[in-house]
Amino acid sequence: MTTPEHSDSELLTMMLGGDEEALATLYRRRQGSVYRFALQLSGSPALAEDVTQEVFLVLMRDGAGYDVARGALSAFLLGIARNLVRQRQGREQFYAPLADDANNALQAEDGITRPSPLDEMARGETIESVRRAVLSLPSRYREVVVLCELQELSYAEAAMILGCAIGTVRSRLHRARALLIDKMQPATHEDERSAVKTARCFA
Amino acid sequence: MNCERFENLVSELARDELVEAGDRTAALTHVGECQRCECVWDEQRRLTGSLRALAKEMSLMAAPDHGEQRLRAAFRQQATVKTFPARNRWGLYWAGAAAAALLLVFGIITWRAQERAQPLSNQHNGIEATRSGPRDTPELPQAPAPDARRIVKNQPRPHRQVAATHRVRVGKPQPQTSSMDPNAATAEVVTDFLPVGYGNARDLQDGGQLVRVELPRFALARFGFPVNMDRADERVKADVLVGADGLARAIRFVR
Repeated sequence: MTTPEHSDSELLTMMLGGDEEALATLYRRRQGSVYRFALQLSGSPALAEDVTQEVFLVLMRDGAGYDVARGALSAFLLGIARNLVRQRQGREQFYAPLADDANNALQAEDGITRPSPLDEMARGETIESVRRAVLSLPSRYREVVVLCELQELSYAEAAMILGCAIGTVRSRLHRARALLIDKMQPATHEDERSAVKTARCFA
Repeated sequence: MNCERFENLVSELARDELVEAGDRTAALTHVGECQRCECVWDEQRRLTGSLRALAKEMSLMAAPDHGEQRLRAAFRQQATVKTFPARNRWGLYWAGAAAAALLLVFGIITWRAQERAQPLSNQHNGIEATRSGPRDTPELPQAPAPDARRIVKNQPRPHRQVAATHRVRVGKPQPQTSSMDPNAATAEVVTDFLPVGYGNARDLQDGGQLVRVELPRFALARFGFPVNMDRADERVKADVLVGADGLARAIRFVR
């Protein structure tokens, strides 16, 4: 019998021992982050749903290969999801912004008291523009933005998932943010920026 | 703190990452002094705010509910497959072991049969003549030479009239092998006797002998046998029926 106090590793061990409820608990606990990660990476709710299923099927089949010393199970699951998204995108060449149903999902009610319609529209436009900008990034930059900015993982966790050095994660994120700023710059901001003529400080 | 150093730190500052206190203070001071870096700082902060808003907007998204039911079904199916009875597994193991043993035995039997079919290797070197075995070895279905055959069959066993074994050694002496060795006799395959020159049966009335010789392989062509030109220079054994006058009357090839 599973309890909320069981850690992810304990639930995994119980699941591999044949405990179906352990699987269900682990799924309910982690499927959201896996789904959002796949959605933020691919922009496709259908693909994200398939990948989420596949991640846990892989866990059922190959979960014995997880090593708790190498990192959290949540990062392990995201690593599987990343590989699956890359495989699917490689096959389907899916590289498009979210479809209308995803837009509706983004605008779903969450129980929070909303500001005025004008503010709502402005905020929605900002969110929409940054979402499109993230999806338009090259994959190696998009991954670090999703992991570090949207999933709020540390550099170390992101590095483990991506299989690269922490320094690589930092430099890619720095470059990705610069690209996002360029993509999100409206024309007026471009003019303002060029109007500010300052000399570089060499202090 | 200069602009270049500030640009290296601005991403982490804007994300509220851990930065050395001295660097943070210097960077924020520089923002107040440099208008360009102030713009960069504002852009980075706006981006951070937008990304966090996006993350918050998506924080409640989850996979559809039917995903859990599908996983449970897959889990139960997997559990059913894993509970394959142990005794059936042992039965499969024994069946596999028995099949492997049968294959091994069959392979050994086939290999030994092939070994027996090949004649013993020739241990002679150079030109040697030995007395042939008393019995005829199995004959190859070659071009018939009726006259030669009659000479051999109708004559009162020419090998009995052999006065002596005439042995000629050329080159390196080889260990003697008895032509009476039943293993050697049964291992050789010979052709029919083929006439040589203008000999006939009457020439052997006064006796003769069978002489074992070695000839170049291309000599086979003279008697109508096909010759592999790649091996034309190799040696082939032959038994030559020599009359009392010392002239060759017939020849048969030996393998």
